[in-house]
Amino acid sequence: MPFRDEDRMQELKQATPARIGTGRAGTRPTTRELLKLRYDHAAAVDSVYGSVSTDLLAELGLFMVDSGAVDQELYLRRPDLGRLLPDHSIQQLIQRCIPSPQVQLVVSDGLSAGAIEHNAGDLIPALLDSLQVQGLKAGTPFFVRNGRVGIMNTIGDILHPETIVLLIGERPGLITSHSMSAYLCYRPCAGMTDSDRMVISNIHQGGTPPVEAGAHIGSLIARMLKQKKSGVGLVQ
Amino acid sequence: MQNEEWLTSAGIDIGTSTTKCVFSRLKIERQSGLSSLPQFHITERNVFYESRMHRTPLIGDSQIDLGQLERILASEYSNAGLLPDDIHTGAVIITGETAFKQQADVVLHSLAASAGEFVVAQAGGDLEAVLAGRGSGAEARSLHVKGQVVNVDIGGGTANAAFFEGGSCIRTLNFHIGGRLIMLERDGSITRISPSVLQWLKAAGFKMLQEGEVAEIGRLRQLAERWSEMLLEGIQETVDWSKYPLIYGNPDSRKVRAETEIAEIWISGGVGALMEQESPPNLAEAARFGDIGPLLASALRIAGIRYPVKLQAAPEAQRATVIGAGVHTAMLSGSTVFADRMLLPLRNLPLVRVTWHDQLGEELTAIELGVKEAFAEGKQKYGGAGTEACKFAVIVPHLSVCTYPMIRRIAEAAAASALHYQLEMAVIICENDIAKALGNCIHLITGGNLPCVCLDQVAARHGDYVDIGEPVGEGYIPLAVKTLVFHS
Repeated sequence: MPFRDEDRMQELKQATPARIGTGRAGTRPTTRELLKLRYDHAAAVDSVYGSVSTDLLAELGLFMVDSGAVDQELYLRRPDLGRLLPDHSIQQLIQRCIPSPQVQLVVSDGLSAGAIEHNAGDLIPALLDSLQVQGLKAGTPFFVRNGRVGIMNTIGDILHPETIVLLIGERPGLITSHSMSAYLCYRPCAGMTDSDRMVISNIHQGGTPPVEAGAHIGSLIARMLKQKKSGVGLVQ
Repeated sequence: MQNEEWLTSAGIDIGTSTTKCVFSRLKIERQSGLSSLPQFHITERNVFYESRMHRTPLIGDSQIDLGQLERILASEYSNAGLLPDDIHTGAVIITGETAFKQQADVVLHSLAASAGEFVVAQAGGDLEAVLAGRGSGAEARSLHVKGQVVNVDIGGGTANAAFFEGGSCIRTLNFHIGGRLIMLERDGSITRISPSVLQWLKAAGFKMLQEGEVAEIGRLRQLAERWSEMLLEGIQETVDWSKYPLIYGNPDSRKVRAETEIAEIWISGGVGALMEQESPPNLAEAARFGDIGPLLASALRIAGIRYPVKLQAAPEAQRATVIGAGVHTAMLSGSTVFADRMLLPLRNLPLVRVTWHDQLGEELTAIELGVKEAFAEGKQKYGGAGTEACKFAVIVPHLSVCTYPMIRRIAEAAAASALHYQLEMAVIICENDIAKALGNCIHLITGGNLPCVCLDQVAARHGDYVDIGEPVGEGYIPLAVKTLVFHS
């Protein structure tokens, strides 16, 4: 039976970005909805195979290093390689980064270059403001191509930061292909697992606002430094 | 903080005829997932103590007896097992006639030590109407009814109507109509007539009703009928307001034209509570409270029988306003905010809303211009005379996309304006979730020299007033938005 209360339906539709109340043509979706689905799917695929522009990296003051997954096909097949750094990347980090910083910022495309393109430019300056207000010092930020979350441990063993923030593109969905996550860890090193980390996810203009996420991450880092821990043990 | 906490809220209503208080507990819960920004909301509001009705202690006609008031409240606090320090938030409201309300500041000051710190001191007719409608349950009812639910709170000195639709108030209307505007002995001799209706009584053909005269019950019944007709006609928006001299209140609110019809009318307040009772058979019964409240209630009930819209006494009639004040005024701001704690609490800040210049869209220059104009307007309107500081809060309306350069530009414009007008502080309320980022920005731009409070996700309008409480724990700041102040 069709849904008759048009106002109520509009309310429900406004409450969620999910595809509800889209109607049908016979037993199939309408042409408009089908095209929208295919468009969103294509955008998701584009995000996975896209790359972050060198212009943006320059603007954000990030230099680029490779992860252990040197090309995109290998990256998708071998998640483990995305958590490692090859020797030439390690050398770059040792040469260019301040060792043992209070806060190490790392950005990675992960599964959505579009996420970084759309959100990093708003989040990073708000995060740096927040750190400055709290009197915290950031190390040398950089970008890892084809990284996975676990690369935080690898970087921790090389640069020994007190805290690390990894901004990484999320696996794209059909609602948005531009969603970014921020992973945080206190004294990252080999053996750290998800329960040792914190995450702020769904960062994009239609979800967690990037600027406010940046400001909040700054406070979370201050709390991690004060309590000397992160993850499930941190009192929030 | 924990994912769940309880605050204790007090509400005190000092009306023309009765004074009462309620205590309630508000449950604050983290409603966001662990991977989102923290969001705390008030998820439950439970009244756990209701005082009995006290006759408002007066010295003479309309002067509140502060000492007696403190004693009444002290006994209620002790009955409830509470100390003033146990109260996290709350509201004292003084309702009724103008002369009464002018004592609000004195009362608040006198109660601070013995009852606790409160967010709301004086309420305007608008706020009184809204609070009564929330407390009576009319606001909640409007979520389940097609059309408007109107709550008319009729007390001793005034009748305040609030029109609710889909869970929010769309307009308010106030009348100089109340049970205690005329006071009389059981033999019918009139002891007092409120100045607010003196002229009207003469003009409307009720010359016989004068202080010192003995009133006939028939004449009083006619007056009560006339008032209930005026109320029921007055809330229809099609009437010519100029013919209703007993209507007052916020003129902007009168201009609102709803697209829906009135579905139900609820009567709360002392007069609402009397509606269920039998009509008084004689003068002695009618004047049993020393006023014409019972006659007014009876006239309304009879008028309701022929009225085309369902009219009924509200279930929480007598305590509607105090429940509204004590239970429903506290709100929470968004949980990622910026606040220089030494500034808080802040009371009675008028709100100035930024207007975006449409032709410029949401470009940076439009943002800068809009913010600067709002500060200029605030300075002009609330400049403060002599030693009084210039205090107001600026509302930054919703932006469809909010980038860092936009926030930076808002911060720069605010900082420049504050410097230009030599403001002691910047208080900004954003509709977008950007307050912490904006506050950080302002702090850095001004080198921390401009104390600042930035809150977000608070629904407030131009011309409203806001009270901002002290932060509870680390996460959230209780506040109360007050609609336009009393217009006499």
